[in-house]
Amino acid sequence: MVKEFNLLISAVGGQGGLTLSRVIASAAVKIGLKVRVGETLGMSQRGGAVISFVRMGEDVYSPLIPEGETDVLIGMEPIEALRAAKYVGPKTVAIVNTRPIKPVPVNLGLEEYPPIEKVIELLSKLSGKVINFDAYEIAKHAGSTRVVNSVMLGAIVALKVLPIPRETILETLLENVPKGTEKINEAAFKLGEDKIKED
Amino acid sequence: MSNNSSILGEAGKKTLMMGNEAIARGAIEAGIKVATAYPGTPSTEIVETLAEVAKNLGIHVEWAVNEKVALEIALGAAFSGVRALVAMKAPGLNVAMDALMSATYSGVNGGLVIVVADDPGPHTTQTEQDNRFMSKITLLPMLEPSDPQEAKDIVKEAFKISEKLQLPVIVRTTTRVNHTSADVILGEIEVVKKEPWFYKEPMRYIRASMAWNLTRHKWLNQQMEKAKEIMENLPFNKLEMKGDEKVGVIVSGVPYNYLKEVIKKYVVKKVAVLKISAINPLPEKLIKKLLSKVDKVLVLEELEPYLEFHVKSLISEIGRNIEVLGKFNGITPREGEFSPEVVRSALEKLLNIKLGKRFRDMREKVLEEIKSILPRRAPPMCPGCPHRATYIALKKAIKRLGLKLEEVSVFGDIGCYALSLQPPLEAIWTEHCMGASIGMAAGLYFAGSRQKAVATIGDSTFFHMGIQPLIDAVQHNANITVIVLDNGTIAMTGHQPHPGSGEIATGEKVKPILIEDIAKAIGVKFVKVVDPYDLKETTDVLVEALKFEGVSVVVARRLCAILAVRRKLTGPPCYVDPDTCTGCRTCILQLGCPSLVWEGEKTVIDTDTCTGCGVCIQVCPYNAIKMEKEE
Repeated sequence: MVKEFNLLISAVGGQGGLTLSRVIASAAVKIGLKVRVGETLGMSQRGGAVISFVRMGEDVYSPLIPEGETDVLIGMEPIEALRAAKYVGPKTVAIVNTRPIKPVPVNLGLEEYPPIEKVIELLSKLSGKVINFDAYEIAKHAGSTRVVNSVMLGAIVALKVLPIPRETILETLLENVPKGTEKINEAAFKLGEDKIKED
Repeated sequence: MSNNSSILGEAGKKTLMMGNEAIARGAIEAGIKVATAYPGTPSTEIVETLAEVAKNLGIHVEWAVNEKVALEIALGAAFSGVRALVAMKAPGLNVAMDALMSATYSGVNGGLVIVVADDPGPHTTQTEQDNRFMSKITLLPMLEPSDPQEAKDIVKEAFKISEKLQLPVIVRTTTRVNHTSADVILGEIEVVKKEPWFYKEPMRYIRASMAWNLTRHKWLNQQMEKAKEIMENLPFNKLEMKGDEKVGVIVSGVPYNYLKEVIKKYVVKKVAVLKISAINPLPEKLIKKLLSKVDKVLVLEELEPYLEFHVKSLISEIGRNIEVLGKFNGITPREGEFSPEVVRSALEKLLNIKLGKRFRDMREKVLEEIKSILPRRAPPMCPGCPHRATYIALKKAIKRLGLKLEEVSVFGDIGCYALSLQPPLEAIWTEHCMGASIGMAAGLYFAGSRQKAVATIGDSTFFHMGIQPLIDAVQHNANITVIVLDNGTIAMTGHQPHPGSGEIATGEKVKPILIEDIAKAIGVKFVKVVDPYDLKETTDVLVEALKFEGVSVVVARRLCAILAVRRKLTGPPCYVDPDTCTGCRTCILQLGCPSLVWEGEKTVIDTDTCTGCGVCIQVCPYNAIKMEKEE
């Protein structure tokens, strides 16, 4: 029985982070897990920072993950992964897409985007394990830059850290993506899996 | 979002639902006939969910023009004996208050439930208004759930209480209930067969007689006496006490989840817990039961010390010496939302022990370093947002008139365009409440300031509360310019239709009400419609409008870029010719469009997000930006 499993998705609005949280949470409900999803939806489609907490298990009540208690971090963008740092701890497996999306103040020259190596280094100091790769490039290979989320999901599944079977996740993913994009999302999911298996 | 099948699922089924969907389901289970709202985060998905299934259920669901109208529609329905729901964000209740106060004396026949979504954080609201106190002003029953399952069940129960007491019932939620998703067990959908009929009862429904008003005030207080009994036995209040505990916690809403989890994780024993869902009237007997045993009590509630006030007065009634930990002694904060950490540390103070290990210094240092290098990512105006172009044109118009930016005050309003507060636009000077821009601009003019006054207001905000101040400005001949940013939708809350959209909540097409027609009918002498993507035309018209003596109205009309993308109405993306680009960065520095990416020496356009609005083409001094040819 799962007592507490904490998954955190950190993304830029529009990257599909909310779809990902919906998929994982729905899959968890399918196999009978108790679920809490906490997210801030206010301006999610507008390119702001979006954090979703997906929590599963018998001992879970709160929609928020206690600081340092994340089991899996899906960082859809480097600095957004870093923004979730306070929730990350020794038990965390973090998976980070290294493709940056520069915030407007950075393009304006008002703020600086830190080097990716620095982002990974800092995250590694807090997190048990950090895996990083360019999921954007993989999504392109799958046929669309809009399926980065499915690449990340495939990668997480290949790491075998989620308390949900692969087939349930894949099936739920395909139920939740826009009609007509099932094939491309499945391809992205499998390329994400392959990325982890080959490394 | 859930699809129709899950929201209308069979009783007993376990379904993943967002709190707002659960609230919608609760209303469906209660057999509502009418649901209304004005969209407002975090309440929007309630009526959005109901609108999706309105036709299946044969009920009326609508986006009303504002919260007051929404309430009045629901009230009219409830007068006739059917059940009605109205939902709003926290400040929406301020708009609806006038209607609500008189409704307390009239009462209702069919159940009327008002869902008010407060926003500790705040995440998306102008203030952290704690609407629990509104139950004391209205004298109405108020309930509060702590999670989505309770939200569904409490809404259903609220309809019964409303009918039992003949009073509207307020269900107060907070963002972490509205926007939390959880597995929810569905209940039976009640089939309510009732012929709506409004029976004439002047004493109830007419507030012109002071004698009647006095009578009804007494009636209201009598009903609230009856409410005490109901609230005392409300199944959603939970007292967990063996009797030998020396300390206790009184908690309501979302913090109850944090508390339960902390207690379980750290195996905390010998703490009595009273969770309260009856906010008004409070279950005083239940509270006293806990207070009669413990020597020390922690009150856990977000925002204001609403429960704490009452607990203290009950302590003085029972005459025991009990130490209270809460807001007054700074144990928990009055601002912002709670977290598991806030609750854990409050519990540690109650128990005088440490729960679990604390983070080491090294971790704190790393977190500090991260904070120092992390760029902010506030939501920007979207790529292709027409409002960006309108504000650029306004700045150009001001310059062309030889004025400095500080000589033209730009009053803002509620909506996406408030994001123009950020660099590089830094356009609006104010953002208060729905429709405030026009009245405040007029006020500056009447004060005799030599500054020009401009009000910028969104289309739906104009319909919500912008028409009356425009009438006032015309009547008193204010010399102001009103720019209505018309993107055809209520964009900020997720693209609900408004009276100008030509569509209603359930998808039927209707004749759009045009803002320029309203302005002309009011008597505005200068009314022009522009396409903000045409910077030159928009700037020319704004120059004219600013020069005009009296009220001028410019409607900047262009469909929201997000909708344009969804409806596949956008053109091909733009690109920068690297040989022509001098790296002057004018495009980025003027527009701050997220699709314009600075790559160290030159601008590059992100074709994934560019909508091809072409505004950057018009600001580039070197003609380096071009549009891809359509294939």
